[in-house]
Amino acid sequence: MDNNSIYINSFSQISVQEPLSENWTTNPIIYQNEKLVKIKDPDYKEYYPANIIRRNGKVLRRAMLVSQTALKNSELTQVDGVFTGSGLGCVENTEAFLQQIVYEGEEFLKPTYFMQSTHNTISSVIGIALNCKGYNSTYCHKGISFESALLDAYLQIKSGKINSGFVCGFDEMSNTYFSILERAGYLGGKSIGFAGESSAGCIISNKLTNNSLCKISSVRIGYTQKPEEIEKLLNQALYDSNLTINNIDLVMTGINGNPENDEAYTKNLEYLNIRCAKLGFAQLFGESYSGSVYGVYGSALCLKKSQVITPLKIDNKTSEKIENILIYRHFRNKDHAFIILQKC
Amino acid sequence: MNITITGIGTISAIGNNCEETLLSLKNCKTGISKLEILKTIHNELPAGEVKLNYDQLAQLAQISDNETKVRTPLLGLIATREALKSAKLENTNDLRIAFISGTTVGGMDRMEQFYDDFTHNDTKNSFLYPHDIGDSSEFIADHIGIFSYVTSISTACSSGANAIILGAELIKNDRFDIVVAGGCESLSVYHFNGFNSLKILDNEICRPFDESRAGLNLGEGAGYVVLESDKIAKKRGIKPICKLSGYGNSCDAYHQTATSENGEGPYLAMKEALKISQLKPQEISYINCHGTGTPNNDLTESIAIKRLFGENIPPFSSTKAYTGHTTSASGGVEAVISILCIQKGFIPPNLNFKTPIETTGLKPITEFKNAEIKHVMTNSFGFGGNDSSLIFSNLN
Repeated sequence: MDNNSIYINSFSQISVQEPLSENWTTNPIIYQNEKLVKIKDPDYKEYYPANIIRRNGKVLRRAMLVSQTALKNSELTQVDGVFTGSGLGCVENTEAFLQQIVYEGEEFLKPTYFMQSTHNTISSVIGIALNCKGYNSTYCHKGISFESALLDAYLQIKSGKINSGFVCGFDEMSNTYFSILERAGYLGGKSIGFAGESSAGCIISNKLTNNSLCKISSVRIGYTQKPEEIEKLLNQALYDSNLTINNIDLVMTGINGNPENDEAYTKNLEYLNIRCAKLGFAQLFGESYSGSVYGVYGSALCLKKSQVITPLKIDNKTSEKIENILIYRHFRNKDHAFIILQKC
Repeated sequence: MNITITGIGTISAIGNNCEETLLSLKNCKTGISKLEILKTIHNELPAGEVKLNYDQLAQLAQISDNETKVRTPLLGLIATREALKSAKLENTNDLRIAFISGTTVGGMDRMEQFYDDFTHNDTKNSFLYPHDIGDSSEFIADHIGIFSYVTSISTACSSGANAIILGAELIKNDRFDIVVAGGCESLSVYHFNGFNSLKILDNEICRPFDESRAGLNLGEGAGYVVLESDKIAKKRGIKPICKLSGYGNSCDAYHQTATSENGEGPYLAMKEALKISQLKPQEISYINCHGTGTPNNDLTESIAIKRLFGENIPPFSSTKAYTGHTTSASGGVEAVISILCIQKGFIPPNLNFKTPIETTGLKPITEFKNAEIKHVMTNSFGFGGNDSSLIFSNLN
């Protein structure tokens, strides 16, 4: 047995698809002509007492339920650390407090919104939900927030510092913040994809279980605008995985309908000589800073099922076998992340 | 492999660089005063404010006049430049260098000034970009231009410390040769009001670890360190200042804004740092405490220290009464202060202390003390129980 292998033991999601379910793989909800779609929350009353629901804002309820469901499905009873990616943190509470200051003044402010507005609120609620007093960190770096969290967890397990972790991506999107991102040119487009929210996470560990979805063989992230540097990064990811580019069966991308974003994918994939079938997550789950967590989720499920999940497909190419999936995420063609998942 | 520190840089209310910071500490001079730059109705509350406006900060950060000026990344850029200069990082060819930055406020200063315009009209579009945390880090990185990985950490008041921890891990795992890590945070009307609404701001200069302490003073600034393996430092011909010998990150997993009664998170973070450093508790020469001056923090930190160190509590002090609580930057700013303690051989006294906390009885160092500092522990505890502790050691 390879002692250094890292597995995704379970995944859990709440999204614009049916929450806590894999129904989207066969019966996806299709969103057309919508710029922004918000998450369909389950009825939290089925899971938590009223006072807990009242005390925790929307994104925090999602974080509690997603993390606890993932742990339950993982065949593990405890994790050693919590690694959260969230580009904007609790942006709705942040905005609510900001609006009070801007429009009502500084005189009669209550702490309610502020207390649940820092970015790390999500990760600390997960720490409480999983009763995990170990390592706990929050990465807030635009489109590679989730990838940064995964890299930290991956390295700590690889080096033997810890054995397991909950790695997740959470972002909510307010209408006003969406309008700012749209005007700044970050989001919005025509063809496929829409802006959304994210709420998903996985248990990863060095233990292979019956439920394990796949192996994570590499996580590489870089900051560059030079194609040859992007290629170097990809080659490192392939080297980590003992693969060549010809072994890659599918590539999961962050193609989301925003022209600037999608053109960079087309150009870079061509430069990198990646010609296999392409997948996407934004047409199903929506784009947000940590939205690529759904890309990893979808890819992991493809490997578990040994088949391409049709709604993830964004071209007409086919794949003979499903053993190695490359996940490529860039943000404004400056931040680039490669993750390789392999069948276990 | 040793993770060494080859460069440091800082800016805060007690100095625009390491030299000025050292001088203020040696003269027991506080930087906490009446607000002059930040516009808030709560100007009866003192703060550790950097007395430089946007244009003055921009000049110090060496950015051109027509660029959009945002306070947090400007503070960060100033400290990063100093850290790189002191590490003599000129020829960076063939070196893999990462930048890890901690902040929470990010571009909130501009967001609160122009929020109404951003959402309703196009008059302030020259300032229109998302102003999130990642923007601050990339602003700094783009002006330096040597980094092949940039990411941001936000764990509230332990952000800077956790950036340094990630930096060490990236080097240990051979992902990078050199990592510049730390934190930056400016004052904003937003979090000034946030902390005020929690009723934890003192309207006098704070009194860490004193029985009469009544809250914290907010501060602003930045602190960054240059981390590299001893092998790379040797290859570059650089003599390191000290090494990062231990670090711990733990979650109190108790409450959003308060620490558990027995200080479990702080205790576990310090314990983990000691374990990694392979030091015995009695080998710690000095603890630079989180010591914000709030009733809850100083009590639970004292309890945690007593649990870990028993009867042999090392000399300790908080430097918050100098700089104010620089929140996400504090892990970086206080790492730099702790490294200065090793480099120059001193313990900065805890200002404004008179009476020990009744239930714990701990007395911090209250007089400036020259002393050989072999191992210094520095604590950063954040909202939501994100607790971290670092240990820096001399090279002997």
